[in-house]
This record gives sequence, C-alpha cells and structure tokens, in this order.
Amino acid sequence: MLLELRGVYFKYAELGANKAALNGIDLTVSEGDSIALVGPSGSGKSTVLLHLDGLLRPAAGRVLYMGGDIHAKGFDLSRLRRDVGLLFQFAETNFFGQTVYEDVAYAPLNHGLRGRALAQAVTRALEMVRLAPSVKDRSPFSLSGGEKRKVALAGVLAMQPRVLLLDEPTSGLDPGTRANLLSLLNDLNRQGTAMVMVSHDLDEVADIARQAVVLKDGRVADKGSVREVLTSPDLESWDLEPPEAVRLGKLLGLKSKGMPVLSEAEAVSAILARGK
Amino acid sequence: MIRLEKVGYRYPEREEAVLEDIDLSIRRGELVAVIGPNGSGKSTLAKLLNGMILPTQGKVTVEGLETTAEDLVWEVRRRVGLILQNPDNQMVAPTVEDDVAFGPENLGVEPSEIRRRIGQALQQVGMSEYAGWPPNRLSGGQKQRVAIAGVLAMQPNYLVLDEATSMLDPTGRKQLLTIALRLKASGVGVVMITHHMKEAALADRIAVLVNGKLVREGTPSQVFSASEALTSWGLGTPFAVRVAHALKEQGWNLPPGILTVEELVDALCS
Repeated sequence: MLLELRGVYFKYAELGANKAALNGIDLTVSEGDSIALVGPSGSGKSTVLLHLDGLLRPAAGRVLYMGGDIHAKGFDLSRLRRDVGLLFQFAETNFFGQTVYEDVAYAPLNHGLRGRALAQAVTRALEMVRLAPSVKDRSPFSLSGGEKRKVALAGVLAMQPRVLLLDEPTSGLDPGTRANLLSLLNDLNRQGTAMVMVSHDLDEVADIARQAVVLKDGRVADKGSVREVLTSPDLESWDLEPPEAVRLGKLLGLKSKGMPVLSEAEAVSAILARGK
Repeated sequence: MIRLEKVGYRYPEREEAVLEDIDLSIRRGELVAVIGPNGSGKSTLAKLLNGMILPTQGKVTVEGLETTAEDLVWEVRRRVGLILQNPDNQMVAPTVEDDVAFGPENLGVEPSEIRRRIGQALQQVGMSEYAGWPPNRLSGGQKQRVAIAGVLAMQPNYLVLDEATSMLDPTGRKQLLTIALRLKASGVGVVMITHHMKEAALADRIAVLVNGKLVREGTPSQVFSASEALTSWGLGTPFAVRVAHALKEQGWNLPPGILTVEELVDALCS
C-alpha cells in the first residue's frame, strides 16, 4: 500500500461554519490503482487530494505513506513530495517561466537535480506527455490550451512520481485534446503510476478509472469498481449523473456479460445483440 | 439583436488573426451554442460580444449600439452579461452579496432595489445561504454561480457563458442550463460557449468555429449530421448521435435527427 487516509477529519477554520470539509475519510491507494474521486461540488474531493499530498494536515486521523505517518516527527516529507505529484485544476495558470524548460524543471531543481540529470528529467517528462523536445525553448504562454495542460503535467511527471493526483485534469479541453490526454494518463497508469483523479464527468471516469469512490458531505458514500459505482441505483441520490451509456443501458435493460453496460461500445454491442 | 458583421480580431503584435470574417447574429429569446477546438477563437468571440475587446475588422452592434462607441461602453455591458470560464478572475468583493451588488451599484441602481435583486439573483443560482460568505472560501462551482448571480442582478438582455459550466458538478451544470433555458424563455438571448456536445444539443442554433473562422452554422441536427468533419476538427458529436450512427452503419433504419438518449430510446422502441 502506498498512501492511506485513516479516519481523516478536516475543517476549514476560516469558514466559521459548523460543517466539516472531511468527516472521517478512509481511503487507500495501492500500486497501480486508478481511482476516481467523484461527488458534488463541496463534497471534499479536492480537500482529499490536498491531504494525500500532505499540503493539508488533518484535524484528526492520520495520513500514511508507505506505512509511515507523514505528519509524525522525523518523517521525511521530501520523499512524499518526490513520490506523490499533484496536478492542480487549471494548473497552467501557475506558469511563471520564460520557457517551458524553466517550468518543467522547477520541481526537480528544488529537489537538487542539476546539470545533465536535470536536463534528462525535463526531456523525459516532455516525452511522457507526447510533446516535441523543441517545445522546451518556447514560452509556455504561447502554447495552445491542450499543450499548456501537458506542460503542467510534465512539470509534475518530471519527478517520476509513484502516485499522480489529478484535480479535474481535462476541464476546459476540447473533446479531441481531452481524449488524447486521457489516453496518455491511461498509458502512465499501465506503466505503473498509481492515480487518483477528481472528476465531475462520469463518462470520462468510466473511460479511465478502475475504482471509484463517492464523496458526499465529507464522507465516503460508496466505493467499489467503476462499474459497480457508476451503475448503482443510488447514483442520483449522491447528486451524480450517470454516464450516458449507463443511462441508455438502464432505459433499455442492456447487459454486457451479465453486468449493466458501462461504455458506449458495450451499449452498441448489446443493442446489436438484442436485435431490432 | 447582437450583430457581428465581417468581424475580425488580431491581438496587438501578433501576425495571425484570431478571428476572421465572422458574420453572426444573436436574437433575444434564442439560445446559440458556439463550439470549436481549443484555440479556435471562441473566448475572443465572447469578449467581442460585450465590448470587452473591440474588433480590429468589421463591427459588432448590440441592439444598434456599436461596441466601439466609447460613451456606450457601460450600456453595452449592461445589456450583454459575460461569464468567463474561471470564476476566480471575476470575484471582486469581500462577501458574496457585495460581489453580486457590484454590477448594479456601478449602474446607479437604488439601494433597496439592489437588495431585492441580490436576493433574487442568489436564489436563482441556489446560493442564498452563502450571502455573507467570503468568495475565496467557496468551491469553484459555487464561485461560478455567484458570478452568474452578479450578471443576473444587472438584468441583461443577453447572457454570454464562456465555458461557464466547465467547473460545475452535474447538479450545478443542470442548474445553470435550467437558468439559461429559463432566461431564454423570458426573452434573454443566450450564447453558450461549450466543449460539451450534449449541452450544445440543447441550443436553437450551433455555430462552429475552427481556426478563427465560422465553418458551420445550423440547428443541432444539421450540425451534428457532419460527424466526420466535427471529429476531424477535434470536436465530436453527442453520445446518442454516435450510437445512432454506429447502428445505422450496421444497417439499422433509424430516423434522422436523433440528439438525446431519450430520442434514441423512442426510436429503438417504436
């Protein structure tokens, strides 16, 4: 097991509200996982990511990395920072460099990489997001929306994280760019990077994640395989909208290998199999 | 009517035009969706509609008022409300209600009337209970709804939503679409810039922008019938259109113009 939240409770002090942002969250992230965190606005999804990255400290409960409490005295937080990467929502709004190179090199530079090792880390990261090496000399502000997002992701990947935390990684991207980014993330996951992704788009979740965790009012309302969660009859009571294929499947009673259909391809096959 | 005649836009110091030769009109009481890949000029178009930026070619008029007329700037902006993608850039005041009051205060609306409008606008977007909150403590979706309330409090004739749903959860998204449809029914002209083909399918008309040019304009069924062209532009079609297309390719006989899951189910069960 890589990362774990155990009974995490958290409250944003400035709010003065009685509502806790997280109300006793248990969550585990293991090698190779691809977990989607879903739930309505304000349900605590981003707050969970910030705890997994060690940026927020729970009011109660513990955050463990490789079994060690990350807030305990003596824990090497730099190891967590190196191994766990967080891509913020609209991360490209934080660009600062004159060149793409400067932006991507920022984290490895902070972790002491210099010279050839640094250059290699940047080149490798740009390769991982499928950008041409020549992009490193361009201004990040001159890039298209999709390229900017990839550069932001490269900045996180430059540390070769074992766990990638993604807050709405595709928001604001057009359908073609979105599909491209999702396939790239899928490949990274297959190559062994564990992922925790926050998304509002359950069609996208169905495409990329294997497990899903539903958050509601700072609590885990449900968790399981993506198919179990996204085809659950309770989905709407959690203020979630099922993927379109699931909605069609429910209306027509479509099954794939005895299970409710999850994807567009499964829906089409099930309709064809059923006949006119 | 908002009218764009041969409109072009070029950012200073850039050679390439972001928009070229755009002819488009938006009437009150209709919902027009604008779709296009990243970098196609959609957001530039949005900013041209309320005079936030001025065309470098052709002209934009709002109910006859040309957006280049300096003395009409505020009147144009009152008539055309603009909601941008990132609500963080739109929050100006220490509390939610102050933020909503900002627009009508600038217009010199009576304080008692401002109170009434704040209450009504926050209720329309489902944010009444947050009136006293500092905006920076709200979630992205909540901020976006407050930004929309701020525009509604100015009682615009047109509302331009530039990917305003991209940070909202499904409930917030549905709420916003309901607000947009309700405003349309009350005579407001709504322009919705979106990456979600399912949302675009709700429009009366869809305009497709590619590389700064208006390449298609028509009803959703007209536009979505060109699925190959849309895909080649990095766009796509709604789920129900794709499934109907896949079934037709297998020789199934389905009626044209299917846009939603419900219409698809009707066609399959009849």
